[in-house]
Amino acid sequence: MSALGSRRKRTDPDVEINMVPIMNMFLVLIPFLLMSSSFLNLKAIDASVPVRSESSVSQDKTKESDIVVTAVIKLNYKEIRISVTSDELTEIQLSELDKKIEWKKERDDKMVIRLSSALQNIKAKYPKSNTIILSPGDDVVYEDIVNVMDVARTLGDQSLFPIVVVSGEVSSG
Amino acid sequence: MSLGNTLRNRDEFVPPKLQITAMMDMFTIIVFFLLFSYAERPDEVELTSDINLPVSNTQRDYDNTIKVFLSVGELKIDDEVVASIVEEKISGYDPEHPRNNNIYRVLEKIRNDRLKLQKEMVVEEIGEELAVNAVAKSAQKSQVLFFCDKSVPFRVINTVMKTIGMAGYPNMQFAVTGER
Repeated sequence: MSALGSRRKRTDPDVEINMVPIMNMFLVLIPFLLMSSSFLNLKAIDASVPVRSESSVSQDKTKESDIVVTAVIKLNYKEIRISVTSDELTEIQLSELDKKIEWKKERDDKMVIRLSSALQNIKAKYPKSNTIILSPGDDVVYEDIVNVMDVARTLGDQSLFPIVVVSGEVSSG
Repeated sequence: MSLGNTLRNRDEFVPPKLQITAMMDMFTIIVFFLLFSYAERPDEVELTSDINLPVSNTQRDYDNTIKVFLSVGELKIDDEVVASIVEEKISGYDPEHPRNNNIYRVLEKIRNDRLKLQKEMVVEEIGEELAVNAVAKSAQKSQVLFFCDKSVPFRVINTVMKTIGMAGYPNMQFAVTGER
């Protein structure tokens, strides 16, 4: 018999890989990973508390689009008061942007849309502004604070007021 | 059917084959999914069942910093319970002397320990003179990761936040559950 012939004879076409040990390994690995895996999708919102600092008042006249304002949201379960503070604007200019929105504990989309459009209005007028001071009432729960922060930070892909300062009583005058 | 036929059929019986390929595919996908979700997390945060985080649309990842856990009943800093909360009031907190309470003391101790350790490390690398500025800069950047139950009212949150700010951490991150 030739060498080539004998080699062909030894080849068995029905040879199968033994999958059982691999299956066993997977069966051990999956429960282990499931147990150690956390399905909590944890994220974070950057926020800060107010700190005392020296204010620098600019005397130069700047273009309206270059003016930077700080929006203030006072939140309680009756209403949301939106106002604006800036060293570069007059009382009248500031009061034009004041807005009051009815706000109930049971959140509905209309309230959110009104809040969002009020903030959009401020952002459109003063596009360089990016800070908001959120001042919730004592009885406002954390979930509602986060909801308002979400509305204030972004609108779809557009960034409104990404820097959020959470504070107690704030005077916006 | 006669007994003879039955016995004849038994000889022809072919044992059924288990379709392992499909099962292997499924297991491979699950294992890879679990391995990737395991590798994605920067570090493990153990959240107790008494803290139910609100959902937010933020995409920001959290940093591994000092963790403050505020639930309806107690306040914890890292693993240490620093105060209990009774009827929405932090026990032992005197608003007239906020620096005398346990929250401030624990945070201040953590801050001092960290700064000391950091300074020692930086001094070894860049020398005493430059180390002071470097440590001061990094101290300004340091922040707290704040876990708060979604039903906690702002009067409690405000007290805790003010104390955290007073202890040298005005910047903080609110932990939330991200939208999937």
